[in-house]
Amino acid sequence: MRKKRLFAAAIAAVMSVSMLAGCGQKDATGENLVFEDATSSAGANQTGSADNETASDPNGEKPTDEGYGILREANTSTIGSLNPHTYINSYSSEQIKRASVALYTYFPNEDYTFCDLSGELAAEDPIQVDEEGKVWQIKLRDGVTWENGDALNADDVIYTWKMILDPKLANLRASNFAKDVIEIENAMAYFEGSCAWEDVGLKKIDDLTVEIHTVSKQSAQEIMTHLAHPANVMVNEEYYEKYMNADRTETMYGTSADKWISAGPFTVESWTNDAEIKFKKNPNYIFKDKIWLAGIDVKVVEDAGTQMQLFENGETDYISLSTDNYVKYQEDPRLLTAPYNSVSHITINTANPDQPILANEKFRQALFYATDRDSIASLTYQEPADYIVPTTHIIDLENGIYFRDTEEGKANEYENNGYDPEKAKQLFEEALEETGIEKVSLTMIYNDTGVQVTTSEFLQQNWPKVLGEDKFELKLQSMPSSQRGDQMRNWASDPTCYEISWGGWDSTDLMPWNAFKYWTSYYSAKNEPFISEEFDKIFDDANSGADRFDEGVRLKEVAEMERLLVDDAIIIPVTQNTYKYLKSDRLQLTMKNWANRVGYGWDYAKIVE
Amino acid sequence: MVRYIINRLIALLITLFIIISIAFCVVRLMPGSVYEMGGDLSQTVIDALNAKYHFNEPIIKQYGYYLENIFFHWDWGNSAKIRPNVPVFEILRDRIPITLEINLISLFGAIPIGMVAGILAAIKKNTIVDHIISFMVVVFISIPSFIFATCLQYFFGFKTGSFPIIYDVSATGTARYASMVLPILALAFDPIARVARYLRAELAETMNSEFMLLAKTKGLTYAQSTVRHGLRNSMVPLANIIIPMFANVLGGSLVVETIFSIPGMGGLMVDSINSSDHMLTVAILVFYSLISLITILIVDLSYGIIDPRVRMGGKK
Repeated sequence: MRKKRLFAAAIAAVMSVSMLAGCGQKDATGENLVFEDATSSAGANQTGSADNETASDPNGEKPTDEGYGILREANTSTIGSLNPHTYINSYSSEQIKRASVALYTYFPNEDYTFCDLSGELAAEDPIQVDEEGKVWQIKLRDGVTWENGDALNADDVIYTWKMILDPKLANLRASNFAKDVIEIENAMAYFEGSCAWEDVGLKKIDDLTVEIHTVSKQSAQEIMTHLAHPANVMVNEEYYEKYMNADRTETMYGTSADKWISAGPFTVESWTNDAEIKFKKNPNYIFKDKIWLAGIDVKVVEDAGTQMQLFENGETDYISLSTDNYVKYQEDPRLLTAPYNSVSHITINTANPDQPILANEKFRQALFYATDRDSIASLTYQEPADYIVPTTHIIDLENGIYFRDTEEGKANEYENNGYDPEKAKQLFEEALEETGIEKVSLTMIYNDTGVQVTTSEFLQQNWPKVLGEDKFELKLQSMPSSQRGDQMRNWASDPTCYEISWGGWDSTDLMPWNAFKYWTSYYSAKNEPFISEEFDKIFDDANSGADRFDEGVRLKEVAEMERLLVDDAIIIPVTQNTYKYLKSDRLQLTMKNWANRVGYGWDYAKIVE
Repeated sequence: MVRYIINRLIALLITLFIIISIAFCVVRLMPGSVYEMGGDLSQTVIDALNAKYHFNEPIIKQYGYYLENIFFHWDWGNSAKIRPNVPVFEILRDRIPITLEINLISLFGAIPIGMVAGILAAIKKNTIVDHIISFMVVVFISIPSFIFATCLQYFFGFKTGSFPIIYDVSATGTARYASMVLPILALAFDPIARVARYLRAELAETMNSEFMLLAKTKGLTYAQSTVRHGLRNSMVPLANIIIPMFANVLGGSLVVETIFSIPGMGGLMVDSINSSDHMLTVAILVFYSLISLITILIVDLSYGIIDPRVRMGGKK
């Protein structure tokens, strides 16, 4: 009996200790955190993060060659490859940029408030050679080297270009170079094997000058934007060839640390695939004076809870917050927010023969007006969006003008963020009458994780309330993201593959006219059946039309493309997400606010112990 | 016995060939093209990639190329998405060791603990010791390993800082093993409980059998009769559960590996299917099938070694 009591007491003690240990949040020192009242809004946080000066920084006024402090990151994504010609996900491309040099890139501007698109390997902006604006020369910096000290010159640039377009290698990223912002003469023809390399519009003029011939008239900014793409960074010929297979169809370049060489801000010190990559400041980098850090340690941590523990334990320097964690930390002074570069929207399969009402414009408009974006935004901690072009998109880079701030952009926005239940009901009744359908039952496919769950479930309840529960029903079917994407892209061969779903393209925020490619009839990964000659023509005009550089032309074309998609409810914009970060105190940002392309500039930050 | 082993090996190879064929066809017939991934790829590039890897040809021709590459070049294909251009077996080679290490340590640690617990529970049947062990067995079996993993990580990693929160790939020596302690513990609870429960039941039954009574009447002490007869007879059926446990070892633990950021085999299959990395998926399926077939073979052969009656039973 006594033994039993002792045992019970021991169990109780263990449980009590465990429960007490589990209470409260703690900071890196082990003390429980006491959250202070938020002194700034999310927007103000964007400007308040780097206000502290760097007096305590042991590097002094200027970064040393070795740098100081290690930035510690954790991310859910893995880095499949550092080969810029074959990488798959955008996270890999971020790591490639860290350890590579491009002709042009986005730096923080002088006062660290905005991005500055300028030459990295290129010594200056492209020089227009012909009157038509189709031939451009790029002067390279003298004295640029790889991490091993070998010179990097025009031969490396030409080799890089030749390899990305190599027909036998058939690189995944070939079209990112051949035809995106600019179209290079005969580049795609060479890739397809229908012309010789000499016919391609890429020439070496001398050791420090290369020349690009384009199909259409281009601007210097377009050339620079195109060449700043992560797929177009330089590759090293010696390493690229060393790891090439015998029949030259594949190279293992960039698949492990020993098969990679850097010329960028950082070198790869070590890399355990799918687990950890360690970068070290490259003392040979051209702009080493912009880099304060001694290195960056990136860990792959797939579990969000584990990431949070690592951050709270002081083992990582910043963390991207999930919506659940954001709720807990929204008053935290360490919080940083930034606008997301895409708008989450509902994609409609108007060609689905099982749901002919989806082809009815009034019905789609009814769904548009029945969508309570404010409520969804407050539920999911996002911004309501009745537009397609996100607030991040810049229509005039030189003057820093955002599309949404222009008159044309504002004209495309609706009252009450497009929520008008009465109008929705009226349009719905008219659509039923036109189609002769008595009751609509739709199925929405959505991702089984993230805010899509919350949003879809909200719409399942809210749409019938607005449109009439006896006449409208929304069924939900969840599936993994990749499976949903495959299913949607199948619409051409199987029009019944889906009815409505979710979309949200990440797009080029400095070129909103280019972002509309996703809705052109010729986009390869198109996942909805919208085909419009009018839309295609405006897109082509905005991207390669002769008068696109005339003042206001592009702005009007972007506004018109957005209007065509939203007015006819080809898609239904719902929300624009925001990035939410927590930043440790030892990490001091040099950026004074979030900015396009450079974000908060983690790589340019300082470590202050 | 040699002929029996040869027969079983031939059957294994035929089964493996059938599995390869089915796996290849099923994976290649899954909806979704390898290179239609919603990115900025032009149709020209997608077509070129499909032509390069023969994905644009009939499935039977693709299968022919696949077998030709395996038999004549020992080339099982390259990963298309997870690690582009890297041979699939190189990916497995990188992932298997850490999964094996953690799971084997966990298993080899669990077996003796489980056996001691099982023996104690059996010889102290219906006492407080038996009740405590049985309670722990129920707890360890009914609570999934990822719950233990989360709790261990939270209390011993995050709150007390006794061990690293995640597995540290770059650590060496003691630090490396310290970062393996929590995942090993999380994975050990289940096998400890299974071995203890099985052994307790077997040993308790054996202890009550007539030959044990005979052993005691012949003058053996309680300890002698338990170790020499009771335990030995109870071990034979225990082999049935311990050997298949090794097959699971290679599979890793999807959730435990995710929680502790272990770059093992756990999530590889799911990742490869989700990303339509077909060659990698087939390679993983073949690898697991091979391990399962070998395990079955070893179990079958071990029956004959442990208990000759099984081997001789088939003879007329």
